[in-house]
Amino acid sequence: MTEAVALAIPAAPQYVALARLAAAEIALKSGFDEAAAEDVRLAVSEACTSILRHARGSGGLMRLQFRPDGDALAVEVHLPAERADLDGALSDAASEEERFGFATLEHLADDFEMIEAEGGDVVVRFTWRGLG
Amino acid sequence: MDFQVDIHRDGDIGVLGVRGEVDVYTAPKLKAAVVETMEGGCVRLVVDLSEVGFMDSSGLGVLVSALKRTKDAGGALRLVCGDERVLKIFRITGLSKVFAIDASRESAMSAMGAAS
Repeated sequence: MTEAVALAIPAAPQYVALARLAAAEIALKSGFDEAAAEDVRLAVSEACTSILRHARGSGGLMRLQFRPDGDALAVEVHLPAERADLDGALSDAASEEERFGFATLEHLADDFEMIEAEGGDVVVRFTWRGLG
Repeated sequence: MDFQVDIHRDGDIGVLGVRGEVDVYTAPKLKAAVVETMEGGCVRLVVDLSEVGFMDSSGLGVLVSALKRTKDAGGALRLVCGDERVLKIFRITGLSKVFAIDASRESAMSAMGAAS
């Protein structure tokens, strides 16, 4: 798979499993081996979970983008501004769980950031390089 | 696989058999099972993750809080896990040094000092 894939799923905990399924399948189709695809699955789970920790209310969609580029894979998860609850700096992990999540993303991906994008969307992005 | 936690007691040890994937959606059910077992009088817990195919930081959060609760109550917590995919997140976060992790439920029970 060399084309970009976009996925919109309800921004709710019960849909994170669906994001994981898609992530692992896309990684395998992009040429990742099973161990690397497993890492992508875990990282996407952490990214969606981090995003949901900064969501308020219910309803709406989170958008995932997967962009294979040679032997790299770039992933972005967006939470729309109207669902975002931005108390304090996003990069300051508030809870112990969130610190574990950030540590996992930092370990697994070559670069990882969680930012407030222009317009107020919360965005988690990370890349794998040199795999596949 | 649907998420499920089977709770049973072996003497004064609470044994939680977890099945499925532990994530932001299912972790509260694991937490509820830990609380229920401890409120039932067990301060020594074995959480068996042998049938868990996936766990992320949401599960780690529940297990760390269970470890603290059992220690504060004068008890202990041991985990059962032999799956590399699940053990990986314990290593990444440094928690493999914090938890007592056994490869089988029998080892965990004997390390816990079960009478049986």
